[in-house]
Amino acid sequence: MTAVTLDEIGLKEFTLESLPRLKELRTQYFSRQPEICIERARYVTQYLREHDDSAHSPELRQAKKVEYFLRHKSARFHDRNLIAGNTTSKALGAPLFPEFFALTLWPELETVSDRKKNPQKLTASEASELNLEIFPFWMDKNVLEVTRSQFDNPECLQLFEKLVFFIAAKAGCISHAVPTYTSMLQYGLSGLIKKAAEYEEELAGVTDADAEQKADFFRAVQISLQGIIVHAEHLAEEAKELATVADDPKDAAEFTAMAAVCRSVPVGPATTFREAVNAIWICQVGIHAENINMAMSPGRLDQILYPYYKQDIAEGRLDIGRAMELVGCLWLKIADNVTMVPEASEELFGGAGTVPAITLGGVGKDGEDAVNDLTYIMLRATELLGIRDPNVNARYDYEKNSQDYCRRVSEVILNTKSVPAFFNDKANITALCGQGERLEHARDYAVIGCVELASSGRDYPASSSIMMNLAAALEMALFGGKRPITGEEQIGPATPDPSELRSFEEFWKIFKIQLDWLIEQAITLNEYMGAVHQEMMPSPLLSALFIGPMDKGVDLIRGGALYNSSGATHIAFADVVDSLSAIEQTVFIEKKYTFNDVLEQVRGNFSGQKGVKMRLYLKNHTPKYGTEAVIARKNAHNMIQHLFEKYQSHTNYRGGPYHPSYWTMTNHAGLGGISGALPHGRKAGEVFSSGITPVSGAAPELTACLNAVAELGGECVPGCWALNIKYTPESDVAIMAERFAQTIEAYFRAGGQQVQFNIMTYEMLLDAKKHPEKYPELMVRVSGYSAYFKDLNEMMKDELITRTQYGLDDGRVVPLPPEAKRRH
Amino acid sequence: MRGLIGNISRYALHDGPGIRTTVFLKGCPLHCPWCHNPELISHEPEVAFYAERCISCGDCQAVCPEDAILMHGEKRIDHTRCTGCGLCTKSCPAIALVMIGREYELEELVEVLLRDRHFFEVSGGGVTLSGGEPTQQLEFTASLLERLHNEGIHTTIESNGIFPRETFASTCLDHLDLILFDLKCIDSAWHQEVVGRGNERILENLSCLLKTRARDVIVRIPVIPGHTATPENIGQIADHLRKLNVCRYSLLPYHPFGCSKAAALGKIQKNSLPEQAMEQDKLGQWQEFFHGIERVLP
Amino acid sequence: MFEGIGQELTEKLLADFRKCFDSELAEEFLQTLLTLMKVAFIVNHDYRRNIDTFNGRYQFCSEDGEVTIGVIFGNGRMKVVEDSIDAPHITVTFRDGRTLLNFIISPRQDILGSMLKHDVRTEGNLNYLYKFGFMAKQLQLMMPQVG
Repeated sequence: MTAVTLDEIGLKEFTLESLPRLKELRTQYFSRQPEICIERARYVTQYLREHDDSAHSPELRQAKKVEYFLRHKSARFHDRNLIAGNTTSKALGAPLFPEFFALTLWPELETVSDRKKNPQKLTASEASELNLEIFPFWMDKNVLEVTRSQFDNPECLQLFEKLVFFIAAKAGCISHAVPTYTSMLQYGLSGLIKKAAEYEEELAGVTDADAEQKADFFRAVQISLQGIIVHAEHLAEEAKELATVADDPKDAAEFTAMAAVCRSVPVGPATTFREAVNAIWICQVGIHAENINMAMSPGRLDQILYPYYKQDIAEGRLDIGRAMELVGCLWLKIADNVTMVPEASEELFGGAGTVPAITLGGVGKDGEDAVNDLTYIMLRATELLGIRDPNVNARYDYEKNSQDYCRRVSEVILNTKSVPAFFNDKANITALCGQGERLEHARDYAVIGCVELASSGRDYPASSSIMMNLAAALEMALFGGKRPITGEEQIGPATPDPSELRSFEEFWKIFKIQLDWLIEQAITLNEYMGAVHQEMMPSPLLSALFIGPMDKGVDLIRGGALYNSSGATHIAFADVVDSLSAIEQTVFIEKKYTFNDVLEQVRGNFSGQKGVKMRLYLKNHTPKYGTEAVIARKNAHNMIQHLFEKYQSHTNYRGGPYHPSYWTMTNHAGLGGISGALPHGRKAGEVFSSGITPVSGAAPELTACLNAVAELGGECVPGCWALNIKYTPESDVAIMAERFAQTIEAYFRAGGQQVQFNIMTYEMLLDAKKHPEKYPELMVRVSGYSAYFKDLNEMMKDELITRTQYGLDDGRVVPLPPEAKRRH
Repeated sequence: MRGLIGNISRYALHDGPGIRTTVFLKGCPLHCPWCHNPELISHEPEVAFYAERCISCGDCQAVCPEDAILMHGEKRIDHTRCTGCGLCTKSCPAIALVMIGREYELEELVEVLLRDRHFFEVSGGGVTLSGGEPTQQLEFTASLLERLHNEGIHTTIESNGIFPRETFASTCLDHLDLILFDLKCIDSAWHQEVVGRGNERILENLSCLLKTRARDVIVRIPVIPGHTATPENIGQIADHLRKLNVCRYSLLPYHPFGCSKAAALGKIQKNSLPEQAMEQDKLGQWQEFFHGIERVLP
Repeated sequence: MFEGIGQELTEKLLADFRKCFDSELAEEFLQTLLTLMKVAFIVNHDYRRNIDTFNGRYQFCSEDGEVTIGVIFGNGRMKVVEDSIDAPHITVTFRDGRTLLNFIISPRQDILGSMLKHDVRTEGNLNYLYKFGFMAKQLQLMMPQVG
């Protein structure tokens, strides 16, 4: 039985013209320049300097710090958005978290406002406050430096600091989580506080250390949630004040209504759709007081909010237009913050949003079709707004969800040219069940950040803990544990010179030795940093919005959640698989070249006539991932299998498993830019392929490509992947949507876990690079998230331009125009 | 059993319903000047040369046992000497030399075709045999169709209509869901002169097919300026189709696909053909001849 | 901006500093920067606030071993020694003057890029480097601009 009652699921009658508030807010959004917000940095520093008591437990100290900030946080209304609350003090703010990498801004304090690429405004007085008051306090106190001193500057940390082997993301955040808002909406924060107080009470008589720790945790929960309540009160006061000074009675009425909402929620249970939406948003604001704005994902909002929507519609308090307006307002609120990116990080992270993911559709806990009217309202709002954040994702179960739904999602992608991304329920639920999650929990998965999966509010997944550069392991295997970029330094184990090897299996073994060594280093560092987070950055506030911590009396950071995974993603998957296959084919099977020939050309970057010839041969005559060549399939499969087994043999500091995944943000461009030539004919400095996507131009047939990727899916990829596909746009959207939907369904039936699209041509992207002013709102899929094309660095723009483009009228690669072939 | 395959085209949308894989078999008894696939006319493997990819490294010359490589001028292959052994194509780093035609074992081919089963299922697609003329390798075609039918795959054939009727009927027909039957001209003398054979067999085969399988036949008429696209010819075809109670037809607008492919094989297509493709919407004047018959888009 | 007797000296040093951005003088970049910084701390009250309460120990080394310089901040003062120092907060090893200049300051400050390309290696607490980078940047902004 479907919950869909809409006559027309496209909701075409609702447009930006019929929703003028959204149109106005959207225009304002695109005209805003991000501003750095120092409020949190100021108040947490003040708190730690003046009020912190190191005798208290980490949870209690964190709760008090967060509560102090929330109590002082400004309550502002920047525009006519119907929802109260902002993550920062600015209309579009980049908050500073000195616990992590805020100090990287230091050298730029006087120039960040005016820098050419992605400027972020900072006032002179705030810059001075950072320089003289705030930053000096943190010199030795951020996660990275505490780890360094606590573990005596370990080798793994020094390796991370070279940046070209792996990235230990915990130095910058854990965040990456999907809380559950169901209890909060049902009982209000006061209800949750009451529960925590009762639990604390129960422990009052017990005197062992464990009980004390638990009691502390429950106190911490109460204190931090109280912070949110206080902030909501401040919002209510400010709204009331604005109502009294408003000239227009209509404005006054709106402010009065917002004041009323903020008085009712999130302190108390939500009674209407609007209250539920605003309660969720204020809690998101609270979460961002405790944890940095990186992929804090609201999750399955079409499910969580549906009862409130349904009830309001039934009782005549709400109509579809108003619901869409509120959803649009929420989307724009979610987009109210960006990450602070120092100019120096542009290479690796330029253009990234904060990637809060919203997940729509799919099946419910009962395994049945969960698509409802709100799903379509949210899809329409996404289609109309065309903004980078939130990162909207559509789940699809090809047996339970209707084909109308699949077609409608396809149509939204064709119209926005890039969103939402598509997720395969069957494969992803299988992947999570493979990790020991209960079926009904796996079915309630939501997407985090880019593509990672977690059972909503049950798994605290730290899904972006490790970003592993597979090309580093390959180079180390080729060069006996050294890399060209780090010169003569012996990095990994001194493995034998490959020119002495007699079989490909021997080389595969050497590759695994280097790879495993890197993985061990990365995991060791992740464990160290996990321990530092346990002391420095517990999350009592977020814990209250999870299933598990309140029952166990244990913070998320100590394993309080029901599931406790850590995520490790991989860069240059396709490039490394193709290189392995090229070696296997040409050196060991055909014996066309000796290993020495290949090494010589890789060192010399395929220069000279001999190099050019070999490079062409390697590109044209070796098995490629993304085709069904037997060797390529075998090597891709072996890589996935090996990584899965390697990670799964470790248990993290919270007692959970490591989940391998394959998404790359913009790192594949940045790391490609500094990596040497590789044996599949890639020249030095060329970008790597993104996520799980085959190398550009290596997969000439669409169905073969989708099959080759899909067969890797399932249990071995519990962290999911990002597959980028670029299609030529066609004039007839209806016909294209049909084929589009069929193609996705076939890919899903073959096992594919995720796919995301750019519906654009080489020529259009070339033009957008040349004339950014003509494309101010052009949004593209990078690897798991969306970005505005104009914000991306040159290398990433080139990567998007040269991505394989398929025609959906023949499933063939569209040839790359000569203009686009020029590479960095 | 082995078949000589020129090409396998996946995600084909214009060779029958849904998303399909089209298998192009080599060998055709006709030589239509406008042929879209001139590389599939010969019954033997051939080497094609794409001059724009060549880096003039000379590796091909070094490996050629027949001394059939010409290193100067536009042509790279001396087709009078070339035996189609393909050694040069394996050594050419730039894939400027490419082998056209590869033998497949039946099961090997079936395995490739079944890879896209999901795409067929979700779109109502299947496999189309084309060419060349697939019935030139009749035994292989028949076995392939039977195998595919046993797998539950929808099958289509594209044929020029020249096949031994009884063998075709007894070995292929039961395993075919759709027949795309080409008809170029009614005048047999013209047929003989332009494409190399008279059309008596074609017309007989068509009328026989229609007796039992009228619903499963689509007659396809190539509209070639200067050749078939005359009011007289198209009018005769339309009258003939009505006489035979043909249910469905489609018009194939001219496209100069074949020219560059022929050039790569050292063959020149007739320069009487236009350089520009004919647009679908220019077919209107020809459609009028066919009133009463259902038109299907190719 | 600069008062009294230091003015003339400072202006000369700033001019030298600017020349470092032209390639031929890049090798002397570190020396020039440190001298200028030292003078600026003495003559410029606002600039001195950067180190009023700052304790930091920096070691700069060139890859070829030619240059070894220690910089010590403490008690509101800056001290430069042409030698190895004990317990530096951070050690910066650079390929040549140009790469160090790119690393620390300009034309587009590129700390991460330099590290990615391994033009510069660091060992120790990067926050000290960020602070040093800011102080160098302030000097750069005081530099006479080319017209």
